[in-house]
Amino acid sequence: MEAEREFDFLEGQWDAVCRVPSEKGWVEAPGTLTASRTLDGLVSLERFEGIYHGGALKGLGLRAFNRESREWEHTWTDSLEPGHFHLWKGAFRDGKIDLFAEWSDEGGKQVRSRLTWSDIRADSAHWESARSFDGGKTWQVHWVIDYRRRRW
Amino acid sequence: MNALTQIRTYLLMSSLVLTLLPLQGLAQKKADASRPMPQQTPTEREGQHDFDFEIGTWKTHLSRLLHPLTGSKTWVEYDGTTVVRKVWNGRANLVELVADGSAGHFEGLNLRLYNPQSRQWSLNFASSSGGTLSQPTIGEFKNGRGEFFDQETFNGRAIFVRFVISDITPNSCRFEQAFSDDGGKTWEVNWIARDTRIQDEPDKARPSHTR
Repeated sequence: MEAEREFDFLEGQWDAVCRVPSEKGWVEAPGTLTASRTLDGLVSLERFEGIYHGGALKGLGLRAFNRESREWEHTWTDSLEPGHFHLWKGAFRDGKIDLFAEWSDEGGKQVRSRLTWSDIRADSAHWESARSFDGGKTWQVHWVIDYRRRRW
Repeated sequence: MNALTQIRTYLLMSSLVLTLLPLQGLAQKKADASRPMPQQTPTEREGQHDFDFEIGTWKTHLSRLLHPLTGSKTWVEYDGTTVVRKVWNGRANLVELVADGSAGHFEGLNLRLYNPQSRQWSLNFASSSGGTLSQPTIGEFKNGRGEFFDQETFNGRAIFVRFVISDITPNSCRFEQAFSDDGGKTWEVNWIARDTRIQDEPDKARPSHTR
């Protein structure tokens, strides 16, 4: 598949099962994601609505394939933390993509972030968000979402 | 007659002929039939805001009797989400339920319309598999409990349908539907939904970072 078509699969409406870790174990909550392509299909836009640790969350994600670097670039903002734009970058390998970003938090600590799309099928996909505070040696998964394409 | 025509007819009829609504027959108040029409008794309270409590997002646990009025006791369980929105600034509201369970995926819609003349609500249900609005149940809230009735045909027999909303607290409520095929003497419950509100306010313990 052409590299710049690799995120086409996400176009459409998805029902989400979201999981976040808590003191009582993993907590599950519902959500929805709607993705569309814009700017002649070169940019992918996603709108997410769901629950994050008990709070209602609306999020907006934007991604595009950078033809020079041959990498996907992704950014995101949401209603719980408006702004805070970071740039994640990565490339598909064996049907899976890890997108990485790095920034320093309020305390000046370096945070490395990894967003993963995997198990991509016609009607389902898996997504995880993980953070590392030791330069990528160990990762803590803090948000897991299973998507299923909506049929109606 | 299609569903829209039914609703339109209902809206017209109900403003003119208060006492002829099917609900009134069920309420077993024969004396009411001779009551002058436009008069409101003190028991008919203003109900415009009776559904305000439900606006928002709820976690729903649904139990459904698979084959009502057949003697079958097979219930299926679903878990899902209910979103209730105001329509026309609260004079109507729209419920969207999406749930999954062992019997599959379920999507339901309920449009509740308030009739300011009769001070009654009509509950108009549709499921994504049906493609039309069903005949509305009609009724009102009294002492924090809503009861809604209609008469319809089920598997070729005329039955009464009763829908009850009860146990209302700021963060939970219960819905129950029952059918009667003996004129309201006995009722078989076939739908129980328990809703728990999903808080819009952040949990105190919630980590703030979504990144």
